Amino acid sequence: MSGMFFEVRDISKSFPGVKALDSVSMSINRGEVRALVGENGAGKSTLMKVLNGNYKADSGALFIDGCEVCITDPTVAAHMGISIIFQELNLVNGLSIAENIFAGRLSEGGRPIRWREIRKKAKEYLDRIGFSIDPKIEVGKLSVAGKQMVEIAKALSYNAQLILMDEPSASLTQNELEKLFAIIRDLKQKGIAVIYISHRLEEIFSICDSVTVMRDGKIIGTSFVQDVTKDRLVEMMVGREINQAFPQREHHIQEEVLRVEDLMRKGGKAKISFNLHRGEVLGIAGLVGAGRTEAMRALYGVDYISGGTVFVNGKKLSSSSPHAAKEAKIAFLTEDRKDEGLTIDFSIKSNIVMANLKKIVGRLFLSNAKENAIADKYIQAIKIKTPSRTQKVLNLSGGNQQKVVVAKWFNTDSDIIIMDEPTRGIDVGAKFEIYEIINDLVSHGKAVIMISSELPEILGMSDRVLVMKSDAIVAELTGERISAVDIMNYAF
Amino acid sequence: MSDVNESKWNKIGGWTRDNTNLLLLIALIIAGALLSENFFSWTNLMNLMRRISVNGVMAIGFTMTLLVGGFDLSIGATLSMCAVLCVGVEKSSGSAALGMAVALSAGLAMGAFNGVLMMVTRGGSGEAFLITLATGMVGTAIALTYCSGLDIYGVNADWYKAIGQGNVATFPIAAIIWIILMVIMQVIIKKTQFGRRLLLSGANKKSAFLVGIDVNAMKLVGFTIAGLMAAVAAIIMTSRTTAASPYSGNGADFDAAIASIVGGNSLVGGKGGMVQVLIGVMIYGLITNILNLTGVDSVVQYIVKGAVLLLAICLDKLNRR
Repeated sequence: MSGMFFEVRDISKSFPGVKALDSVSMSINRGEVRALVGENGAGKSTLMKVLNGNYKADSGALFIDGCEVCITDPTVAAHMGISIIFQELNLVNGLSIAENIFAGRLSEGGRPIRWREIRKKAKEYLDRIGFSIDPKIEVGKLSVAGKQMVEIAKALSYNAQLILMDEPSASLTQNELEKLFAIIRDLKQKGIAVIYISHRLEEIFSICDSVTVMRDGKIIGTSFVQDVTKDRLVEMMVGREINQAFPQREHHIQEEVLRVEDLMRKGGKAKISFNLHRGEVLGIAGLVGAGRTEAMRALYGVDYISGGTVFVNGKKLSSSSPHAAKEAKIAFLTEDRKDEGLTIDFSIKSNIVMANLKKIVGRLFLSNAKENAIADKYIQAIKIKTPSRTQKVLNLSGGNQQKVVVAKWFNTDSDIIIMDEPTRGIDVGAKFEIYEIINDLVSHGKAVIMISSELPEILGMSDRVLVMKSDAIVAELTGERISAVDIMNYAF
Repeated sequence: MSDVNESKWNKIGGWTRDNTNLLLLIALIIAGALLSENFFSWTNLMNLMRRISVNGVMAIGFTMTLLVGGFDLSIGATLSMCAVLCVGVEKSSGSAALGMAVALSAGLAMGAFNGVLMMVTRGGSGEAFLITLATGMVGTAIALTYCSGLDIYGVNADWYKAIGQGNVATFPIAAIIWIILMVIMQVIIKKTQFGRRLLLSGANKKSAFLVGIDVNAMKLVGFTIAGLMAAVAAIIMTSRTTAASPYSGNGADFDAAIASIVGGNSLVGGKGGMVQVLIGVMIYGLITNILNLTGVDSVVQYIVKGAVLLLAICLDKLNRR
């Protein structure tokens, strides 16, 4: 094991009630691209945060080139050549690219800032990753992919030797992903090591040299990618075999339940019309920014509309507001679960019951017993992993948080369930469970609208697919015509 | 063995952190008992209860605005305004009931006005600060204009005076009103659908809006209750002193704010309740009481009170980590 550039030994870290890391040891060479995979809550993010100095490990040690180092905070990590690119990027939207790259280092010792030099240096780093853009541009105007590029440039500016990427691909389109891969290959050439966290296993095989699997805070195994198969990885991650990625279901499409006519969001570029039937899963495909989320937000009455009507069971919605939509038995699982789906400071049980308080009214007042019973029912039914129903949602892993959102909307007994990226940032096992939940819903005569940026998910789950492009529905595909090629052709 | 001990200490540490407010109250009670031998006498305790009830009622209102995700700095001005209106109308009409009705309507209107402004601006704490600062100036000006800047002395019917001065079986009526209002409010916020919606909208207005909760209506209600509580506090206060000054509410908003926050109501909204109000108001009352007993100058007292508020804000922030 000589020549190992970076090594962690027996790192443990506990949070109240959870052992997040249980004597984890791993090492990585210069120029190695290492995938780190595992289900949500397996400890990947915790490990990253320990490496980056966001968390202090309870025990264990870190070594760079064989010397023990003590990383007390992210600044120390940066100066030691470790940079992290979080899923929720850490950039200031209101500042320029150059300012973001050199944030905190714009000048030395209180001397005036030499803007021209800063911009020139920023431009150099951006050029090194092939991102040709004016560093004066505000970061807020960039796409997620663009922001990621800025993060990478920033890492390079710290002379990073090890870059940690936490789900960099989660919100990238296919094109942007190719660019990211090109950059990673380039970093590898320069001898920079990369730890790449992703839930999309296909990516790991195309970009990584080796892969480390984590489960329940432990390292399950490390191997070269050519020595493992996707199925084997999944098996290691979940500790059991998964035969098929998508559960089978019987198709029983019934009468129309939702009809949307000429709906246009305020400031939108096109009107949309479509319908939905009981027992149907309607997939909505398209590139990021095609207006899919916006269309659903307009339908549910979150954002203002400039025209159009929504009929549920033939009855026109009384007004365009979430309240009216919810009363008409529509549920909306938003993409942004932390900010819009959950009340993060509240307990699991109060989150589960919040969309349907009527159910927990006792003889006179809210009944604690009823609230507990409903919470327990869903915690069991969709397997929310938690020590207690009174646990704050804040303390749950991403997948379990998403399950709480699902439980919340199940509790409204809605007929129409809109899911925006329901499996985003969720591990394989939990994904399968979400698919089973969707199948269960449609088999009970409910209707599901599913927005997804993952093509296999659209292909595997949908009875019918709408493809969107610049706010318009450009294609409707059914049966045999639902194919990856067709969808991508319409989407681009 | 050491593991067991460790987790036990962790638990005690956690409990201590979650109940700093209660521990502070207990410490103050002990301090009070040490400082004065008749601290635990029934008379002293009942006097204390009577004195803190005006601030107690104010703190109920302030806490409601905290819970919906704002705060109200105008309640002191509303207190002044309602006090002079209550006594002034009583004096000119001879009817205490009419005076109270006018005061309650004025408080309600003032609170609702704040609420509407919060709705219009879709405001959070920042807007609440400026809006209630401005409406507070308006309230003070109305109070000063109505009584031409002079104190008003009322006729004061006996039943009116009883509110602030009377007892039921040696227990002050003012304190009974305060406690009843707290119980009602606690039942509403913790035990009704409406209350749950109010807390949810204060804790995260986006997620509340998406499940169909009318977030703006909750703000309106929170601020209206604050105005109404200031009117109730004005009635209790004037019935105790049988007079009203246009300056009587000066600083009362800060007293209520300090009590609410020291009691453990969170600044971020959605977290807290009347138990925290009770603890906070008692802490604040005891601090005042102890400072008076030890003869600290009333101006210097504000240094201590300010320090307590700052400490409470820091504790709130630390607990949220």
